[in-house]
Amino acid sequence: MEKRKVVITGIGAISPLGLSMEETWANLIDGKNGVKELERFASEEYRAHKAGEVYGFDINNFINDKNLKNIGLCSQFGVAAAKMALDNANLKLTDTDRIGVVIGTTMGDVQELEKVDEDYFYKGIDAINPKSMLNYPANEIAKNIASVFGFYGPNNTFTTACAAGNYAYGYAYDCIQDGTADIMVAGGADVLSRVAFAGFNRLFAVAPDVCQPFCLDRKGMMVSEGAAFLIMESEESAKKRGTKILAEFLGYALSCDAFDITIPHEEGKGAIAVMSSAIKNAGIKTTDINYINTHGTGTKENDRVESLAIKEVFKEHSIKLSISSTKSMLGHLMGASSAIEGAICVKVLQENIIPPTINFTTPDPDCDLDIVPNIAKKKQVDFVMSNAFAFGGNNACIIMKKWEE
Amino acid sequence: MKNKIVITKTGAISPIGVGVENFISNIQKINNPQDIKTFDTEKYDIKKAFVANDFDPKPILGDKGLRNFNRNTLFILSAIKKDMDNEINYFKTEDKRLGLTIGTCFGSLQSISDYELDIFDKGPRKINPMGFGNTVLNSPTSRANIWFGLTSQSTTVSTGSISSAKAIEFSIGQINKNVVDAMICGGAEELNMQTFLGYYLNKFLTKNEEITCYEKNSTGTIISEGCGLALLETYENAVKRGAKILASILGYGTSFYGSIDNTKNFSTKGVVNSIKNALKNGNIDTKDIDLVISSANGLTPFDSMEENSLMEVFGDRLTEIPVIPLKSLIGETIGASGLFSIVAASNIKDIKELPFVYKYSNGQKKLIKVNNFKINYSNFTKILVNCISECGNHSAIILQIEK
Repeated sequence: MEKRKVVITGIGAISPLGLSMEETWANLIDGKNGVKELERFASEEYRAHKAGEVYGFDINNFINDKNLKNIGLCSQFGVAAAKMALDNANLKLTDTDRIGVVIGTTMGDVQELEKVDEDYFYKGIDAINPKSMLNYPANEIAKNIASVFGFYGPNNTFTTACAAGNYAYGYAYDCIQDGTADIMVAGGADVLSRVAFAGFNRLFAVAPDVCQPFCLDRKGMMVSEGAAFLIMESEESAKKRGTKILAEFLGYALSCDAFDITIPHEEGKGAIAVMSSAIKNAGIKTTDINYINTHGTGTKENDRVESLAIKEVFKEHSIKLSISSTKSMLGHLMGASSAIEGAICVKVLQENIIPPTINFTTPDPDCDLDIVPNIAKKKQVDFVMSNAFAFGGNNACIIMKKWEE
Repeated sequence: MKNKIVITKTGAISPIGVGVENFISNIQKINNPQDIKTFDTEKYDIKKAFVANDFDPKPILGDKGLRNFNRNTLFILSAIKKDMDNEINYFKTEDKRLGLTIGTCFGSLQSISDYELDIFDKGPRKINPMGFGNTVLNSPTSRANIWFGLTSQSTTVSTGSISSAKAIEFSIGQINKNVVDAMICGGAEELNMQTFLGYYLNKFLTKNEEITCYEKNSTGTIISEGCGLALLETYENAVKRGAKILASILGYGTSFYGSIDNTKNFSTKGVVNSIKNALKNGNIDTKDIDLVISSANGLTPFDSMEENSLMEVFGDRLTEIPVIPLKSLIGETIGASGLFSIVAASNIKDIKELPFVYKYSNGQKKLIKVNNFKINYSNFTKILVNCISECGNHSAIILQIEK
């Protein structure tokens, strides 16, 4: 039996570079940096002081419902990004069990837990708002999105750290292929967390000034926040609705380093396995891929290992590939990072423009690939790959293709 | 179902017993909640829970390398080592692809909070960098992948109280896609101060020492902890390797019917749909089901929703089906609860007598507790495991018990 084709019909995003995918994309191809001095909480005591924050966000600018102010900020990001993706897909259906919601997140509405901890520590138990504990669990985000839009199909949440967004895309792809749903609202959301900011700082993994992936001078990553969603849909559903198809989702793969909780496998075993499996699963050749949106965190070890793995998987084709790290501009959106990077890949396929890796100064011989330094590049792109390599060695890789009738 | 997926092994670390054998043995008697020792309960008027006070990972895992692991991680590692060591060795020796999927609602909650409280207490430059790896919700699963060298995949699913049922769904999908040969599928939850506080402050906990299910005057639930596991593989694979088959998964159904306000998520629509979807998925009639392991936990709106849903799906047939609210015997294990139900169902042949079951009374139109109900549990062949959650997300799994 021939597999159902899964296509993408809508994208939406909230990021440090904009309150929509259009604004985010325009800033990305302009090479703008969304990482600034941290405002969310005082950072004097920390080693680094910059992060990627979403500015000027108000959920009621997207949906005028006062109840939405009572849900966590991460859920609000998710609802807003999902709403924009649905509008982009011209999807008006509601109250249906043929549409599902799946999200990936590292910590969910963790700011709700942070409120509880802060009240507990400084004021005592009586000061804790019990509702914060109900708002906290990671599944609240998918629940809130599905509830707002009346989508009663599959509803799931993956908490596989920084690869979670790609896990969500993979699950959505499976739900559509096996007929459990016709349409999936799939993506990721995370908010800037004090725990993540402090932890990465303590691991000396945060760059003091700028994020410089694949550059010899790289000093680390930038903690960031946001949300992104794709509307993934069966080809027949999209055609029946007469909506524009933006790209085709070809496949995905998962792997695990089983090596260390914070450090990637030194020989890139998990990364090699996941990229190779994704290519196999997508039914294409390595030479078909034109662009990889890398995990590219800007840490010494991640970028070295990812470069090594790309060269191992793509062999001589690796020098023909363009790769870039959009984290150089957006920072690291944690579980939402692969979600927004998937959305960026859709734009790359549509526009034939590759966003740059900014802040590049000096080539690293270990990362001798075309990283599209500093300035966006025009290039015909027909197949894209997006990598996500998370804490715990949880790896997920997706492949998409330019849509052709 | 695409392939016949079977359960060939189960595992359990629970407050009522370490290892499946002890777990099955002890659900056949009344177990009382114990004093909470993992955190200070002085400020609360509830001091007991179903807590695994007797659990000690060292005899199972050895002394080395455990210092930085949180309780949830230790549950998962110990459950796998205790009950699935031979299977892991088999799959590794044969170079087979063995994945790991864990469902957990709260995952590393205590580690996240501990880290934050340390930031407040010591300042961000003095917190322990080693502790940061534990703050991601997937760290317990990933630590198990590392410990046992499982490279095929590592997945953490967090869908509230049905997390581990969703882990089953995900595992079935991955096996059907032939990207793994088998999946260790689990549910894990640790009892910690934050989870306790969440339940306590929202007045979900009873001060009584028992959970009273399906009763209007129930005063709440008793929180619990632990890890339940099931090894899933295709029937062909199990037969080929000569594995003992405990049960096969006949049908799986899931549904969502929620609202932003969790206090409004008590419509029967979602629960009914998930059970009907499971029946449809397995091409099974309601008359084929001979036992229900239910999700009731003593929270009245929750229990009523399930009771009404079962009545809606089964009608008068419900009078013939015993209903076991497993949480009344082991406590509310939240994200792990679905897997504990699967463990109990898969080993039903080893159950001689439960302290009580619930039977539907047509006259009273409700489920009634029946003590010392005499029934031959080894006769049950098709069991419905019903998993419901406060967020409107529901799952139902139908198992065929192998003779």
